[in-house]
Amino acid sequence: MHDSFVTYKNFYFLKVASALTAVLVIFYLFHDAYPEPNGGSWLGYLLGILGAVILIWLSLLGIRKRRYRSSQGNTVSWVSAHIYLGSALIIITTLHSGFQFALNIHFLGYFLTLLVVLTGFYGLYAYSVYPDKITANCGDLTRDTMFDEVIDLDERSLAVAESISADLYAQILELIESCKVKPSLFRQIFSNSDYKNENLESLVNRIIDSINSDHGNRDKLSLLHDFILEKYALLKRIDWDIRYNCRLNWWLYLHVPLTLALIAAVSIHVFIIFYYWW
Amino acid sequence: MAEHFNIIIVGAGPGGLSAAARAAEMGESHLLLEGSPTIANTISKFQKGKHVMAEPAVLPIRSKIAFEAGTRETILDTWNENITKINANLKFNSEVQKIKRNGNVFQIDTKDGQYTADNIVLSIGIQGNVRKLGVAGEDLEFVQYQLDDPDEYIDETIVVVGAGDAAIENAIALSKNNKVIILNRRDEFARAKEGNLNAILSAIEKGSIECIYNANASKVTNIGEDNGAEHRLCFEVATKEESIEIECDRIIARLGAFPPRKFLDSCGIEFPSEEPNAVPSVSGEYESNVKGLYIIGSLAGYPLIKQCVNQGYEVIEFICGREVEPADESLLWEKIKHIPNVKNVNEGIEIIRSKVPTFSSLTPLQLREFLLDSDIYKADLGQTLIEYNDYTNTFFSIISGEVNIRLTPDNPNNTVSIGSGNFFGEMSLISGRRRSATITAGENCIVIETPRRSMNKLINSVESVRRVINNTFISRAIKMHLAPGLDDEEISEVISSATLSEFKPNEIIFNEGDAGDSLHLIRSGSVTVSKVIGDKTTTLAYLPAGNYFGEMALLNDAPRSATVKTAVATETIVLQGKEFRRLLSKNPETKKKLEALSEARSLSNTTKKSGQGTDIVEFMMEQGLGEATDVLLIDESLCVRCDHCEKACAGTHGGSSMLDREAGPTVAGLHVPTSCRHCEHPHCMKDCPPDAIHRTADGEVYIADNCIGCGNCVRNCPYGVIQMAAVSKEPATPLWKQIIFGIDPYPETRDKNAPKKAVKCDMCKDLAGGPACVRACPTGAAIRVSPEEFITMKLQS
Repeated sequence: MHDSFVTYKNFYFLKVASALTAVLVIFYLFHDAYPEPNGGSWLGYLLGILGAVILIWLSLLGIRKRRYRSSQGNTVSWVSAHIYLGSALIIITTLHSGFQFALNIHFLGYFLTLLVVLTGFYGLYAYSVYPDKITANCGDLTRDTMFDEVIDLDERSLAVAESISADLYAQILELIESCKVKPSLFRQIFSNSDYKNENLESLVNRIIDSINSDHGNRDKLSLLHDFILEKYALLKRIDWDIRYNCRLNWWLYLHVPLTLALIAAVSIHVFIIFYYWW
Repeated sequence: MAEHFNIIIVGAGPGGLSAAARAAEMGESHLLLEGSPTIANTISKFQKGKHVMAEPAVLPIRSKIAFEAGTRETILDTWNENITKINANLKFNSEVQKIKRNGNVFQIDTKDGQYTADNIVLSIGIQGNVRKLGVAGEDLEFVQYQLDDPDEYIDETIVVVGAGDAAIENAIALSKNNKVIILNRRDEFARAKEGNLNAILSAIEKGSIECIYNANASKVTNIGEDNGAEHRLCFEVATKEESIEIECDRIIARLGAFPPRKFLDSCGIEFPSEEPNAVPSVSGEYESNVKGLYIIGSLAGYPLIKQCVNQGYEVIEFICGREVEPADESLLWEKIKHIPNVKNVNEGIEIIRSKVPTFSSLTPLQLREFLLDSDIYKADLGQTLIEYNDYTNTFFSIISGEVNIRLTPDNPNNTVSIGSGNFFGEMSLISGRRRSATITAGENCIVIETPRRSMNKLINSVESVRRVINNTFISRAIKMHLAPGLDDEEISEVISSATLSEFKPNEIIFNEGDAGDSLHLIRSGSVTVSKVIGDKTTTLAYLPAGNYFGEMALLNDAPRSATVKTAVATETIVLQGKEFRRLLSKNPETKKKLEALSEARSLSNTTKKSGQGTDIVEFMMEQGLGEATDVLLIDESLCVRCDHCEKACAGTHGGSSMLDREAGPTVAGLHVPTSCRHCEHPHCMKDCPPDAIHRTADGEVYIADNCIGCGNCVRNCPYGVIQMAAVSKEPATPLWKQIIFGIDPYPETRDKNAPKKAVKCDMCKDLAGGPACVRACPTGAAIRVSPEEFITMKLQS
């Protein structure tokens, strides 16, 4: 019943994009350009215009997906078309270039196209991998409820510690203040290791030592021990949740600005072409 | 010498004020006596800021005393203003102690005066006579029988006694700042409104209010301050098992009120029974058995403020010998004039009573109230009254002419007719499901169309109406689902042996292997059918209202082949095996059909794999989807947590989202966010004072603009999907800011004091293309489906 943006309507837009590129490749192969394939031939112009139109249409997704009252197709059909036509753009622009590359403004447009599509590919990868990971990590909890549980555990730990000794209370308070889950951007994107807090681990070790030596407070100490470890497990999950969500979305911060840059580069490219032509 | 008046009105409540205003307006000599120092004593004792309703909504107000729904304070201010302006003769602090008839005049004694009058209007209500604890210490300083402002008390231990709405509302309001214990004489809160019931039970569960059930007050004593005790009072309470002492600072008893019997007896007023709640009987002109003594308002059995206000006006007109049309006369005439050859409302009422047997047992007054909510109209030949598969739920009675019921949805010629005196539309009313047939008007067809709420009210309050409708439902359900083509006579034996059974949610109706000799037809609610296959319980089917089960054991004379459990509160019609088998033996055709169906079911059961689809079905039933008609389901493996569903909801509903994507449970990658499921029998509709919640023909349950913001639906919804929100008219964030800076389309910077109304999912019924949440989902993770379809698919795949 759920129809994903990848398989939407039985890969309808994959079929459309494939047929379109197949036709264009055939044209290209049989096209007799003089002196060699280039953007200035009739096929070159056709490919250029087609590429530009597709580019503009693809970028309109940012507007369409916020037009909640719009009845022009579901957002999911737009997204499905977006990924397949976007992929086709690599082939269309490559054919448009006629494989003539040089370090100039025209090549900048081509290069940006590649970057935009590649970030889009990452997005496709992220969208297919991370939702499941987030679900597996969070279960029925949300990040807010996990934070609430951490706060609750902190309060209970403080209450238990207070009944044992003022010193322990101070240590727990210090620990609570030092427990910050704020992974760096680099860590969010690239690191695969669990959240680690050495203060917490050493405090847990100290408590284990006390359990063995302070028989009078054994039950309370082991309760405290469990609370802290429970909190540690939650902090690890929160940390992963932050990272997974970042990985799910960070590429958009490249994809969208690069698209804007691409539109600018293409505009200059078109302007220059027509300026010289004229 | 005592001062003489033509009319003396006793009690300055809404009825008394309105009577005095009318008398003053017409220049009649009159006096209004009020025992307390203010007007409307009962209403001024309502909780501070309480929203007072103006029901029934369609009834016009004909008094100089203005009245419309609003807070306690605004209503009292308006009345004070009205009564001063009209120069009514009003005397406060004059409690009437005795009324005596001396020849043609009444003699009235108050604390410090004596008056005589030709006529008396008693509008004293019943709240002046509150029921007290009835034990020693009931009048101690901190034992009180009303609560004005719950915020007045802070950090006290307060015992609230009572189990009605007033007690519950007080307890909940007080629990914000105090420790509250509620004392209930019984083991449940049976008298409370559904919303209050849910609120008190959840407060007890959360621990914010402690409840002692089966508890009776025995004694209240003061605790001497010099004892250094923490609390002021000691409240002795007897429960079933033991006697306990509760130390507290305050006792608030809300035990209702009853008519001041002693006083009324002394005036010579007769009561129809000895019941303490009985009210004196009065004539159509509000006159009691004592000539010249009139009774209006709640003391006469009319508790609604609007009724009191109108009666105050009318009683003065009657006393002065003028004829008054009832307030609803013109409204009713607008409806009744569609009946041919009828000259006035009374004639129309009589015709309806004689032509429609269902209503013959109603009193004219009951029928008037009922018709006020209904529509009467002449339907054109061929006009569709009910469309097959629509979600409408009105009830039709035929006054004259006939209607044609289409037996097969797609063949307009295969019909049967029913004529004058019959009714239809009860199936959807009872089951909460789609219409089961298309019904069109025949020649000269005049019908009464009644909305769901008024019909349910009538079914619940008039036994004979309930019986007739139930029997018809059973007979039609049997004919439709089990024995099509048979006539009433052939199935009469089965019908007379049929009984109604009610089951709680998650109750097992029967277990696999049980002996069984009956067949169940689901009247409302839904069930799941399961069986142990391999070593796992495997769900075989989900059956909503209108389906039947239990036929296999009955046909094969074998033990039950599967376990049937309710998904939600369910009612079934139980048909007894002996009678049903006899019916089948007489009708081999019907038997053959039923056997074929049963065989198909049994075949599909044997192909089931152990445990297949069961997790999902069980999970969905746990979420209460057994009563849903449409549910938002998110595939977690596709959901990229972009919250576009929520943003789209807010974007199409004035800035407030009616769904919470993150909240809600998840099983096997399927997430049920907190969002409306458009229940078959919507809980939100149960107690909506302005009747603002409706269902469209397509099934969407929505809240209309006449919502008064009382919050009953929010409390009644068990799924927490209705919110109170100020609907924003502010423009959203410009699109370019949303794209470049990622700013929310509707940032939360709204006026905190803006009036709030209830908002809920309306499935974007006014948007082309369907629900915005689903259409805005970029990855196809969100869908809205009927649980029935979804489960059937899951069980098959």
